[in-house]
Amino acid sequence: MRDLKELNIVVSGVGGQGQLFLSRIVGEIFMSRGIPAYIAETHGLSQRGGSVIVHIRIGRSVRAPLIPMNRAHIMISLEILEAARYIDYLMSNGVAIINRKFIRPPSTPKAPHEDELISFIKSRIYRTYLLPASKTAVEMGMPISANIYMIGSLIKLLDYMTILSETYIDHLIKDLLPERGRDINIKIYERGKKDLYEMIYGENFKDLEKTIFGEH
Amino acid sequence: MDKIFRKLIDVSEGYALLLGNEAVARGALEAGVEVATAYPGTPSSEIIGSLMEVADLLNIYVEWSVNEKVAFELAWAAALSNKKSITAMKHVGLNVAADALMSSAYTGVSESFVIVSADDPSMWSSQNEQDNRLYSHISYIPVFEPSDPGEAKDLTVKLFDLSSMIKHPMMLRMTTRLSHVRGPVRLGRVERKTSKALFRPEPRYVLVPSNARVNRIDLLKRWEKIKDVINDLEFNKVFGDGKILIIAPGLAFSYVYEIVSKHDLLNKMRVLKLSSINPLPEKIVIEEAVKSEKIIVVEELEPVVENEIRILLNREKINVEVLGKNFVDRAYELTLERVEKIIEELTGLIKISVDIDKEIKKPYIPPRPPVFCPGCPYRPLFYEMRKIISRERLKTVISGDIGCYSLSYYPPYKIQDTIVEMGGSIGLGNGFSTVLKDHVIISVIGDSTFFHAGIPALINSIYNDHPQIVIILDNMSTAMTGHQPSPSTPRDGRKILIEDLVKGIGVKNVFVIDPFDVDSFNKAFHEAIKNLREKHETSVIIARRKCALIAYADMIRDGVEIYPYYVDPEICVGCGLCYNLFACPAITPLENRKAFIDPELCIGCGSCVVSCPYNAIKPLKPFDRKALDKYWF
Repeated sequence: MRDLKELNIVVSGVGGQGQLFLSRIVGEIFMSRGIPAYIAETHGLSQRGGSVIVHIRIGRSVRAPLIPMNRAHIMISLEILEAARYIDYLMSNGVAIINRKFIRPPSTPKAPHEDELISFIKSRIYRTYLLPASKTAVEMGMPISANIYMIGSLIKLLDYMTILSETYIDHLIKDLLPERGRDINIKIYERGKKDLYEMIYGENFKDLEKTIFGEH
Repeated sequence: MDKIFRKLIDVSEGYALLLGNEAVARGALEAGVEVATAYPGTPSSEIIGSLMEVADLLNIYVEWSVNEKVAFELAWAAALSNKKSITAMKHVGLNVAADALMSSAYTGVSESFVIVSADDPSMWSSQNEQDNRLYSHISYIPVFEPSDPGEAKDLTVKLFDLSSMIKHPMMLRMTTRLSHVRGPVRLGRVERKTSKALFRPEPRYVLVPSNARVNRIDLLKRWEKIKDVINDLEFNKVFGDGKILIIAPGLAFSYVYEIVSKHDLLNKMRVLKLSSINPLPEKIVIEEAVKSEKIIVVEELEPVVENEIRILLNREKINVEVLGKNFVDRAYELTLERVEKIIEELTGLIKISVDIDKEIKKPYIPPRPPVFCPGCPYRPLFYEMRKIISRERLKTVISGDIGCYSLSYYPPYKIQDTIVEMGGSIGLGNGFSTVLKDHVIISVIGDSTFFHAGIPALINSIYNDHPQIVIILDNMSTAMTGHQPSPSTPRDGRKILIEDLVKGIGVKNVFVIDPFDVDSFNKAFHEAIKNLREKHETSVIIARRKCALIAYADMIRDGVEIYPYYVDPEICVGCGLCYNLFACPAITPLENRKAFIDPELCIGCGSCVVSCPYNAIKPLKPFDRKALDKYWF
């Protein structure tokens, strides 16, 4: 396995969309391979439909819990406005995987239009991938499982970037998902993988990988 | 992944990914804790919450107490009776328990007593940023800080040992970024031995002045002994080599160490990780200070360590430049960027750059403050109250309190004029009632907060005659912090009825209403105003309905079919009352301004129906709402 020096993943969304669960799964996956993971969570007030950001930091050089601005390699966002809010955490050559779901903050008449937010994000981050996580989860009868879809797409990216092998994770993920609705969730997870793969197939992430792995 | 903490009880090796708070709980278990208490408060709640998960397996006593003082006293009594105990609270909770804290240093203990204070730099969910390490200086209770979740576990075990050995309480200070960070924790064996409870009366437990004077001298002697022991604490440790010394207590160490090693500076400077904050490990500080040309203290919030170091160096006549709070701002939590900048400025050894294209204009990103959940019983009540106050132009002062309902400060309800501290609503209400005679004084408080600190203020309001309208929001739970029980939560047939209690105090006008029934609130509220204006009497309105998150979870568990509501587009005129003023997150405007209910978010509570003057909001399928009442009450 390559020497994982530092991998920063910022997870954002609206309280209640399951960011904590998503982050914990990612942490457990790396821990099971003996790679230290730190996850800084948002609790309390922010859970009540507020803006949520979770910092996931992985690798042997990591000690501190918070990702500095401009130092995240990957963003997983369950909502478009929250992706735009925290986009400065990403490196300019980082990867943004965003659920195509816009949740208007209640009683905010001046909320920007989602198209405006998307074009802003794309102008900042050329590796932006918008995926139908919520839509897929609703179609498959598990509306709350958009986060599982996003886990699938993240795992596909990690596999593609040779950070972790998906075969290994697929095996593990079954134990980590809750028993209730496990079969459907696994299908949702697979859809997340497949959809992202179709978007990144043929892309080259070598420049980004260089900032994640150690020299030796 | 459910109940991981519980499953780990039988695991005694390897690493687990634990939340800092779970790590503290794990440490307590490995040390053999037998009694654990708390009043919930972010960011501390998961410590006792985790222990609650395993209480039955390990036969330990774990309790959510009515407030921090009571929690502290219960655990303290256990430690006076040969039982290892722990109590945990958020930083401002320790203010509530401070009276007990001071006395506990005087009595000492007969077995381990560990006090955890979880501070909240940057005030993510608190009213202030107080640095509870300073409590150590007035109480003579030693305070320690870990640098990450893994160390939080080990340090907790150590504090149980120290407390048992010295027979003195020990304080562990956590912060949000320790408590709510998951990290690798090395597991040890969970201690399953139980000890026999034993209380031996001693004069030192009776703090009458004649005994307290003796205790004071003993306390100072004990403090000297603690200083001695702490000199050998293995958690205080030096890394690197060089003439510059960075002293970094607790979490600050993690930031400093990452930056220093990232820039390969460990051959140019030393980093002293401090885990014992007060007293300082004088030996190691002096040894390192004399080898230094410059000392930089990097710590969050107040200059607690810095000041002690200055005093120590002065006393020892060590002449080294000390840099600290003149470079590291007091306000807000540290970040890697802040620490990197400090090291750049103070050492000149690194150069940092940030690559963000500022040319690309960021669109306006509106804030997304937390909101009442879909189905929250408070929403219709605040909606109605705002309507009445605006329509009738009532001259009010609304004194709010700490809980989910604090959110009604934000638009569109804009209902609270003050929110200060636990129980402060009725307390300030007493004062406003005294001096603002021409105003309608309204205090808004939740059930758990009322039991915690509201009762004495209400007694004062009745006995000393400060009439006000007190609205007690009874959702039968301590909802904000994660649904810990409150005395209004039914438990083994016990439950304290708020109406019985307030009647007992002498409140003559008591209304119990369902907050979904806005007409009944309207009626009670108007009567209360009349009581206030005409009879100068206090009224208490108890708005009772369970937290929607609990009701909904129970319905899901029982497999109840839930039908979301929808907006009939033929009827909706797009007035926006429902999405702008009632403001349930499940209701959003479409492009044509008509309302749309997101079936992903709607829990079918139906409370929004009243907000539509055109009756456009309907259930997807007709169902018997009354049949679901058992989940809501």
